[in-house]
Amino acid sequence: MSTQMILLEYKQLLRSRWIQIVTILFAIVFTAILMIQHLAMPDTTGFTRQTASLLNILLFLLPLFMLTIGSMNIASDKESGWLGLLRTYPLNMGNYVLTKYIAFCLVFSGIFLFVVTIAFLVGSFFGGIKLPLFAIGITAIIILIFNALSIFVGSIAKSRLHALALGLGVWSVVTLVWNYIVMAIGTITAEHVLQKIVILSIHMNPLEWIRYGYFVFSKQTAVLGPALYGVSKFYTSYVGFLFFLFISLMWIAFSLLGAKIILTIRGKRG
Amino acid sequence: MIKIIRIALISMCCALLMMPFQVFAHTHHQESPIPKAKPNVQTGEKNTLQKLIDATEPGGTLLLEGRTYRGTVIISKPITIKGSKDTKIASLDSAITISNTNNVVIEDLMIQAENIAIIGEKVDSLQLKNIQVEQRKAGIQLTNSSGITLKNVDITGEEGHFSTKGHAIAIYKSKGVQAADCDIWRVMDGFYLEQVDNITLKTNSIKEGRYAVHLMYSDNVEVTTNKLESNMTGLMIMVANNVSIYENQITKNNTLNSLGVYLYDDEDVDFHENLLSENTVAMSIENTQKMEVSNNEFSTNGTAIQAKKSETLQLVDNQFFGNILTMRTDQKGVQLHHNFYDDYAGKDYDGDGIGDTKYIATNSFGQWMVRKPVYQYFIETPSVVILNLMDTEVTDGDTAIQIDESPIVMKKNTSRDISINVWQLGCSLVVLIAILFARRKLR
Repeated sequence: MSTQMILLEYKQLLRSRWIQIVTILFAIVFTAILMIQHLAMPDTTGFTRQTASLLNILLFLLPLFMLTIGSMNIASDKESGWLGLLRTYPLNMGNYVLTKYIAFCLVFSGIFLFVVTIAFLVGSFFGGIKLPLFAIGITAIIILIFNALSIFVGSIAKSRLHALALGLGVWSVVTLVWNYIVMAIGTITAEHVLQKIVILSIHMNPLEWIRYGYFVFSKQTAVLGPALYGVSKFYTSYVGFLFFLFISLMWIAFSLLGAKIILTIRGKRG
Repeated sequence: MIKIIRIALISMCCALLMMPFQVFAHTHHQESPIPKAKPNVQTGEKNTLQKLIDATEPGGTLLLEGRTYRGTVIISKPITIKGSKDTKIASLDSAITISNTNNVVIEDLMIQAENIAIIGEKVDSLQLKNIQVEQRKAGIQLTNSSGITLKNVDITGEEGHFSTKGHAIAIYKSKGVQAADCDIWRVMDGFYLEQVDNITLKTNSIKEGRYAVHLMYSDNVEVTTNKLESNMTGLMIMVANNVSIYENQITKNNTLNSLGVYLYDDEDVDFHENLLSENTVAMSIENTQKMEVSNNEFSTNGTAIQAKKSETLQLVDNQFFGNILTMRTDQKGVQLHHNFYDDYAGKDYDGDGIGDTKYIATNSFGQWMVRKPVYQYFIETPSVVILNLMDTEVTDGDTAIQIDESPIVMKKNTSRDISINVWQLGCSLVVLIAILFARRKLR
């Protein structure tokens, strides 16, 4: 892995039309939500419907962009023969995966910076807007976890179309289907069983994990109701914080490691 | 001549002998000279104030010096005790006990007591004005009394969880309570009133307690222009009749299980022109009859209204905006009419200010939360947002949903700042130019 390779990947991603379209779309939606909050809502610190909208935009759109763009990028490398060419060089697949990961993280950080700047620029004509601090933290975690996942998904895919299908499939499961399944199970189980399933699902779904992390670190677990009091108390402790970091790192590490192993095995198969 | 000198000397001796007793003789009515606790009283500070009280005639006024009086005092006669600047009563037990008397006025005092600061029993006409209490165990506790006036009573508890503290003002089995301009902070309950008739709570500020106002088995209640902030629950009224709550600010009661207002088993309640903001649940109403909620502002709460067994509840001309859930009810529901909802998507083509289509205030998810609180975890997740959108489209025929047939389309008060924030404009322009420049370089 070298800085030159990261820069090369970064430049190639910036040239992508898809990334440009995604950036504009994200900027419009993000700015609109912030402006509605600014103009229509009183200045509050708590969790409101508008805060939820902002959180949902981040949780809904960013993973979609990352899972599709990231996975298709890896699949494209395979399809175009670029990855095959790279394999003729003394290049470790781990380096390739890590290079891609860093480049993706840099690109999406840049997109977020651009989007926030646009939002601030528009908001400055209306007395200035405030960006909740959580938005930055939550975006950073989304970028770190979902870019790793996107590389993993891309490593499984055989073609770009396959990558797109897989990316959208994973996205729909983590954002929508997962919760519907848990809610449906709740209709036929006792409340205490549902509570355990919910806690388990938080740890098994990266999107739920990030969402839950937002509530814990913004000290707003009261919004989630009394059922999660015990687990929230743990995560607000020092040990809980370390455990949160550990689980988050595991999502990243396992995704990247999985991608490396899959790409290495497939490379040997030819 | 010698006889005259002898008489003069004897008179002087008598006068000198009488001087130490003057402290006890200074029990005066309002027009009498101000009694002063003499510094040469040999009985010790602890009993000084009690002796001054004992020495004051019934109906008289005792003016205290600006110093600390130590010990517990008992008042059992009509009296006015008036402190001056820095007058303080400090006690290792209760500071003042008032019993079996009437017309007691205590004002301009600071009280520091390890037990209850002021205890009153069977007092008719008690006035406490400009009192500051540093609460240890509890603030003021009154029982079987009538004509109670609390004006500008400030009570501050120690740091720590409210479960370890007592109530600031607790009144039991009494009649006629008026409390105004009281400032209460860090206690268990700000006002705890049980079996009290005829209550007026006005312009009080209560923060960081369990319940700001906890009222039960009481009738003829008026709660107005109070600020109830950051408590476990702002206003809890149980088993009460003829209740009027208006122009209060009930905000930031947003911990786990917090409620802005909780009404249980009440009758004849008028709730109007209040602001309820940033509460976990703004209003929870249970088993309450003949209640009208009108002209209130419900903003940025978790749930605005939660109602059970309160089918006669009427919500009229209220504003709901920024709340995660507008309403959750049981099958009996409530009556909605002419409210503003910021998430109302209907149009007003005839321009009468009322939406042409109805507003559906409840949704399936909200009802699930009532049945199984664990579902609250999913509140406003992307999946629930989509579910709610679908829900609104398909619940037209459902009789369990809450509908406002005439929703208002414009909020009554809107304030918008359209001034240019030069600093933010400049900074964002600089960053934007930097981003575009960097991108150009990297192409």
